[in-house]
Amino acid sequence: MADRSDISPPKWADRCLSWFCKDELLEEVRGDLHEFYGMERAKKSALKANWSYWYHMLHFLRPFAIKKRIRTRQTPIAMYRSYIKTGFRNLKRQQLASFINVFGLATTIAISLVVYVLIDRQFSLDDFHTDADQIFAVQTRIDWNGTEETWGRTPLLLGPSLEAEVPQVTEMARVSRRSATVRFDDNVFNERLTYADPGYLSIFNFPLSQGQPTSLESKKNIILSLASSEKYFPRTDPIGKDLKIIIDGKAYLFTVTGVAQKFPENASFTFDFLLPFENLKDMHGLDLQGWHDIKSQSVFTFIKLDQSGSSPQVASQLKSYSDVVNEINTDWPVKQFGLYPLPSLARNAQYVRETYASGSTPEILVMFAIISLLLLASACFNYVNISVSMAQKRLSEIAIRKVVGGQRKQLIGQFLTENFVLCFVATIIGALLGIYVLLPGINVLFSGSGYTINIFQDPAILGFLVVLFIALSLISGAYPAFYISSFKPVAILKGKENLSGKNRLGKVFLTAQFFLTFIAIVSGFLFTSINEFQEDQDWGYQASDLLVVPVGDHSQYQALKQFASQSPGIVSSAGSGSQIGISSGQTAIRILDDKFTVRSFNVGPAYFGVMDIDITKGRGFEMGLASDEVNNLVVNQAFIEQISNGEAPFDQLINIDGESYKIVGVTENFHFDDFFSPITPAIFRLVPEARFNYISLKTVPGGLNDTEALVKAEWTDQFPDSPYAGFFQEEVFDNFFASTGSLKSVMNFVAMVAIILSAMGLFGLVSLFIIKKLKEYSIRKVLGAHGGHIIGLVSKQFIVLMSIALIIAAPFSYYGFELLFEQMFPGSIDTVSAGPFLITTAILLAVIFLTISSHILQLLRMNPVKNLRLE
Amino acid sequence: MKGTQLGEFEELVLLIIGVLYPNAYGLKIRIEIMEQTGRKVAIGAVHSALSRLQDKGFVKSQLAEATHERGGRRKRLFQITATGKQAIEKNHELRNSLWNKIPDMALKGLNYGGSF
Repeated sequence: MADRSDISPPKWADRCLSWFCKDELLEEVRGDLHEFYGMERAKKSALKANWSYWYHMLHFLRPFAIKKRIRTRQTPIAMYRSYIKTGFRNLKRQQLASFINVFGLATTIAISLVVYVLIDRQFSLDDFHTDADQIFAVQTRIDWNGTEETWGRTPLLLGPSLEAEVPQVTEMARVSRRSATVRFDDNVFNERLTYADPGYLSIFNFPLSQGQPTSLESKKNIILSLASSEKYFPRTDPIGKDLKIIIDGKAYLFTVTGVAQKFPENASFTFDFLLPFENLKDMHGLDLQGWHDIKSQSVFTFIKLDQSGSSPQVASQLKSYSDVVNEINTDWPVKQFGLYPLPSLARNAQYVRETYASGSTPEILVMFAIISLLLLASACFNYVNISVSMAQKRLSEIAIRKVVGGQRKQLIGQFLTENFVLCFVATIIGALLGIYVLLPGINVLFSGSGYTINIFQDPAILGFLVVLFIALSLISGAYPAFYISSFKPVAILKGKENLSGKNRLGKVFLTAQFFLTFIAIVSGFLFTSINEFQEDQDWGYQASDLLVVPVGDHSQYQALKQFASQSPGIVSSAGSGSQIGISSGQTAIRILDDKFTVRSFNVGPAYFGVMDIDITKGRGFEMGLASDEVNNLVVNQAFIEQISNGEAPFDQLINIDGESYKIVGVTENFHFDDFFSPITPAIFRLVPEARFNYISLKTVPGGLNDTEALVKAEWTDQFPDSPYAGFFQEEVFDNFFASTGSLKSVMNFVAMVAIILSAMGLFGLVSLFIIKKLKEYSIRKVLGAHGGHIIGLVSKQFIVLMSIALIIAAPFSYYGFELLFEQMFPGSIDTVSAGPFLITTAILLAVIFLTISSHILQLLRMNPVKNLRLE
Repeated sequence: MKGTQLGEFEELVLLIIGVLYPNAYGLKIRIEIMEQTGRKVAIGAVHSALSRLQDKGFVKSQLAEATHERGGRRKRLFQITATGKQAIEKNHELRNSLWNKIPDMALKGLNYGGSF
């Protein structure tokens, strides 16, 4: 073997080995490993040899090789009582420091608790269903014009076929939700009905407070939720009453046979009215007997398996069914049907087109979790800093304890115990703060969330608090405990021991804290400006003075049109099948051999005028249905840009469902969903009056409220059977504004907490700094230095720290937020500007000066002679 | 008390110590095992087996002189003890006698790579 003594193995691995390996084994083991390393290096690259050295080194982590440590009891139990007592005394003696510590920890604990609850609720969605792991939604992987998508719905016959042909499927329920008008006496509302197989109530755990689930087997029975029962039958027994359901002007009678109990808070889906599935045939014209493609006739399908483990077998049997469907529809072939477990259905809702369960985006929760962790770290850092600086006052206590025989381990135990006391107080305050202040605040911000906590009923939350408490106590207490207890008693008593001069760790922490605070403040500003940006955005049409009334049938449309032409408050009116911001369709179009999916709006000829959508090229549907306009299209600018490469192809034939259309006009881009999503290609098609679902009424400026009152009165007069559901077009995006608004409030709150925490951290570090340099400043004062000079001296190094933080944080947050906003609000880039960064810098500077000067004032008022005389 | 049974891997290590006499030490044993059996063995696994064998009294060891290679560290050389020898012999005999007791019928027609 060649002499390879010049090659030495990775140092860290070697150190690690000698740390854990028994001394008597170390010599030979090291030798073997070293020799092995030499052999490896002869064959392989240094990197590979290092890897395998680490690998083999770690393989010595076995009981035979690990050092045995001898444990003895260091601290008698009785001493802990004394520690707790001294702990409380110290809390009382150093009120300001204790307040900063407890307040900082409590605030961050409260924030973490709320974030935990939000995350916990998100992850426990729908887990109250019995055997939730055996319940699966069947969903469809579909080839939608070249892109593979998951669709929540499946063919109608899939469920019954599975139940009959696959032995592992024990139960099946198909579900479909439709809207209709429901009437009992004078109560008339538009409602969402849930049509379901009888299996629905046995698969899902929605117990009834009245009636039997089996009543769903009879076609004309209906089961109500508690909420709808109270809505239609306040203070009366609904059982046996007849509800009238009106669809397209036809009325159907149903007998109430059951009322569900209150639904759990973590249900991602529930029902208001539960009707037997077979009614879909009569009431909505579905064919319950044949296979159809997913696009035209489909429902949600849920199955329950005999055991959760048999899902792979069932999934493999699903393959044969996609062939059946693909024979009917070759345009959008089904790749496969898949089983999707119920517990994760809501979490993945955003990746599925039309899914039964609904859930919110986890990205925001992840962001909150990171924020709360950073805040916790910040509070811990403050604690470390402040307790080290306050220990200066307790040096003699430490020395005396050591001199009379206290061992270092006992001192560590003492400081950790004190820390437990403090963290305990902080945890309790934090929990109260979280439950009674933050959570209600969150519920107000995100309307409809309605979260509640009952600590004593929810062991998980109690467990979370306990874990948080222990982790915080150890993390924040470990460094001060080990550091303070390491002082030498003789040196302390001689007056020589001082806190170590540099305190590098503290400075690193403070820089990190400035860094985080900077990002938090910037994010507060940016979310605010995003919010403002969205509120100022051009909608692409005139939403003001526009009253929109949904109409149920042709007669209602005609009546309102008639009314509009007679009332002086209404300037013009237009009917449409879709309404921008409220409803639209997805249509597949074909140009030559290319398939695209576009948003489609069915409108009447007057729609562009009333909505004030600008036609930039060509024309709108001026001539009405009498001409051949039926096969004409108006498209938006995005269509031209994304599909026809920038030019309006007026003579290009476009195929929709087998019919040829051609483009006659191009409109400006307008926002139809929200301002988060980019504007996608959209088309307008002309539809006959009979297919109008909305009438848009343009009122005289400012006449919106008066007109609405008149329209409403007219409506109730003419159509007592239908609810009036008119709305102002201005309000269609209110939900979106509300959600960015809430986000803005949350970020501003976080920014505030971050400012306070970093001010506290700074405060702790500055006091430590001043205590150490007290003599220097006193001498300077005696020699005639004025206050400003001393402020400059103290601030100098903190400004340096802040500049370092700033230099790292500014580009980091600039690019980070640009990325984040591109993801979250693709429509609104370019909102990240220099302004917030400058303001944030100014705020941080102000915080530094305020914190430092509060200390300096104290210093200036002191008599310098006192400090110098101590020697 | 720890049992004095000889595990499969321990037996292998013990045999290899015999084969390598008088130069059996951790790394060399590992290399030999890998060459003879084609198994992948961590150095730690060999050391662990050696320590167990020594606890059971099947091997004895002493530190050799320091050499220039392996960073100047000494090797621990292993030798089989009398009890160790007894243990392998016992295993060897047991195997042989069991092998001889298998009736011919049981193995008839079984060929490597063949089927029924």
